[in-house]
Order: sequence, then C-alpha cells, then structure tokens
Amino acid sequence: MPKNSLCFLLALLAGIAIPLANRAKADDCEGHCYAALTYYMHCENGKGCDEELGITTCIPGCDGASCSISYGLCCGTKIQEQNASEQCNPTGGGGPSVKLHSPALHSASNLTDYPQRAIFVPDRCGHSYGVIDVGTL
Amino acid sequence: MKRIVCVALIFPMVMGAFRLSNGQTEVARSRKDGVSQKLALTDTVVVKSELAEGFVDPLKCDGSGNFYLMTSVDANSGIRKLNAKGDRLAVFVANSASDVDVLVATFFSVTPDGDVYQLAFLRKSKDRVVLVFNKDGTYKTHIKLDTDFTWIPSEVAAFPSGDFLVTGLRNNPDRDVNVKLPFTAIFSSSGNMKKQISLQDDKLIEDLASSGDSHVVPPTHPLGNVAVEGGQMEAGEDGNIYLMRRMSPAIFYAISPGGEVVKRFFVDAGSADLSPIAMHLSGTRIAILFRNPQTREQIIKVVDLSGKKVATYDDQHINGKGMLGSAFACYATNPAERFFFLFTADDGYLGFRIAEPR
Repeated sequence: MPKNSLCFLLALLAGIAIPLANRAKADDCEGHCYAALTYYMHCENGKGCDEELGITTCIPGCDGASCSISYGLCCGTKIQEQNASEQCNPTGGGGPSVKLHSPALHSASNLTDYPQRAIFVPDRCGHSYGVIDVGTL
Repeated sequence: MKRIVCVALIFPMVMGAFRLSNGQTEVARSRKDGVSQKLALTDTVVVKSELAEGFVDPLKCDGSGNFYLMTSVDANSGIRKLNAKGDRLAVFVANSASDVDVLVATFFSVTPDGDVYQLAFLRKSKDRVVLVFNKDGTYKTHIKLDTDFTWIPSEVAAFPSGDFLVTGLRNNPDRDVNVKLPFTAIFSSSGNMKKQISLQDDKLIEDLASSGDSHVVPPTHPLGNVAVEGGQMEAGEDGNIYLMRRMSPAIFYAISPGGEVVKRFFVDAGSADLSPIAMHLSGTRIAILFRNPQTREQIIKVVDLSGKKVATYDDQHINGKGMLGSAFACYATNPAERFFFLFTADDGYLGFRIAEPR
C-alpha cells in the first residue's frame, strides 16, 4: 500500500475512533458527570418550627457536570445540601473539577465546619438561618 | 472556566396552582362537599432512647403498628423500625450491602411480610439498584434495575410475587434537552424490566416541566420535577400498588401486578395551594396529608381505594400554629381511626403525636 494511502486510512480511522471514545466517556461518566437527586425532609421541633424541605444531593449520572454544596438549618438541624447543574460535558474539556460528598446531618448549634465562603440568610423559622456557599467544589 | 454556582439551600415547595382536566373518576372534591372534622391530639410520646432531628420522606408503618423512619439518606444511618412504644426492633442499613458501594439510599416501602425495598444510588456507578432487607434488618440482596438509559428512580413498592414497581425520571433521549421524562415500569426480582407503564398524566407533567412551570420545577432546581420526585407509593391490600403524583389535585393510579392501570382518580383538597405531601393506606382507605407550604395550613383527606371521599380532617390550630406538623408517619383504621405524626422533642429525642377524629 502506498504511504499516502496508509496515512489517509490511519487519519480516517482516527477520525472515527476519537468521537467514539468521547461518546464512550459520556456513557461511562463515572467521576465526571453528576445528576441531581431531590428528596424531602420534614422538620418539626415541637416549638412551632415546622418545615418540609426539598433537599438536593449529587449522585453519579449524566445530566450535570457541576456539583456544589451548601449548608443550612431545618428547624435547628444542620443540613448539607449539594446541587448538580449544567449539562453533562462528556469530553471533560472545560468542566469544573468536582468531588462528591455524602450528604450529612449533624447536630445543630455550632458553625465551625461551615466554609469560609458563605452567605448567611434567614430561613422561615425566626430563630434559625440558612447558609449559602457561593463556591463550586 | 470555572463557573460559580450559587445554590439556594431551601427551595420553597411550590405546588398546586393549576387544575387538571379531570374527565375521569369522581373525586373527593373539597371541603365544600361536606363538613370537615377536627383531629384532636390524644397522646404524645417522647422516646428517650431515640434521637431524630428531622425525618426524611417517606415515613412508613406496617400492619403490626411498627414505624419506619429515616433521618438521613447517607448509607450509614439506615431505616429505623420501632414499635408503638418506641422500642427499636431493627435497622435497615444500606452499607450492610457488602456487594455494592452505596452512596445514598432514599425511598423505601415495606411489604406485608415486613421486607423492606429501598432505592439506592452507588458511589462510583450510574447503576440504580433496589436493596432488599429481611424484616429483622438483615440485608438480603440488591437488584440492579436493568435499563438502557440513565434515570433517577423516585419511588418503589413491591408486589407479593417479588416483582416491584418503580417510578422516576429518565434523561431525555434528546441529549440537548434538559427536561427529564417521567418513567414507570414493573421489574422482576432479578431486575429485568417486565413492562413499561404509560400513565395518562405524565405528558401533562412533562409539558409543565418543559415550560418551566414553577408548580413542577422548583425555581432553584431547574432539573427537578416535584410531581414525580415528591410522589408517594404504597401497596394496597387489594394487590395493587397505589402511586400518587404530587400535584394539586393529587393524582392516583392503582397498578395491578400485571402492569395494568386499573384505577385512576384525583383527590382534591379544595384549594390549589394545598399540595399532597404524604399518603398512607390502611385497609380499604387512603389518607392524604395536604399542606400549604406558605401558610402551613394542613388538611387530611381520607378516601377509599377508588377515590371516593370518606372524610376530611382539619389540623387543629392553637395560637395560629398547627398541632400535628408535616411528618405524617402512619394511618390506622383498626380498631379505631388514628393518625400518627413524628416530631423532634427537647434534646433531639424522637416524639410521636397521636390524633383521633373529634
């Protein structure tokens, strides 16, 4: 086979193989793409604070490429929430580096493990508050 | 470029301001149909052996009067099974599944035999699985849901045969479209999808989601769908599984073991602002807790298994505050009609409130 033809054939194969590799990555988006899972929580402290909250957490999936995290209180109970957003970016190019954390529920009363970058906002119970973290992990 | 994403922690539960075109079964229409009754608090129990700061949906009970509750979706916390006195009988812990690495475990159902079926999401896989536990809390098996698309199951309940019904949201086949599609199917005990079930109102839910209608799409969670993710599912004594979509009016489907939609009905709280947030079956009755997230007004509607109204109960208010809270854990009809709610007592202890019609 002439060298030119061989080069052409290799280039053709590469042209097919590279997109296929990217598609495979999209289908196997482990570690790269996240989905948002919403569940519901009832908080009732017996003293008039009574809330139902929708809480979002990140799970492996293919509809979100960004996973961020926030904190807040639900009738005095500290809650960690995450959020998956944006479209999946199967090639990984330009997508934010993300880590996945388990949601956690802690006892209330101190804020020592809140991140530095946080905005405190009141929640619907007068004596407690919510916190929004403005950073993407 | 790194993109900053601000996340609103608490998105309001916005539901209920639209109407369905209801051409089907007669419904429990509204409080205007009849006199609503009051629920009176008959007992309050504080369980000083159990801490519970918040309750993850769902809350369940079984025919023996045992309660099942979760306080977190992490794989370590588990579902606690307590008797009516608050004694702990078992814990169903997702990370006891040694053959899968569970990240979070969410909705669950209890079979008449006491087995527990729970949806689980894995740490390093987009496989969706159902964990099955024996009634004593020991892990039995996991079942991988065999689908050829990515999805997020929201509710599960098992038939006596071992087949089970799952509903949730699947990714849109058009990868450029973010809106997810409601999906419901019966799976075999080995995880094979036996039958996909078409639910009549799913197109409406999809259209509302596509249009960004805030009754279905939470403002701070554009990928979400409250109607599906906030729904409920329980097996009935008639062998059917009852699936509720969180819409206003509430939409119910009764699905047979063969995958037929044998009943479809609506339960209307009489106000579009009241959203169905919890549902429990007892015998031939269904009790649905409706709540206005803004005012916290609550009513409970009781219907039969065809959707016909049995009773409507108002939450008693004292000093402008409801008496029961939103953590509706159990509905019992034998020997008497009773409603069980959970709350967090002083020092974080678990509390039960028991209410009866007056």
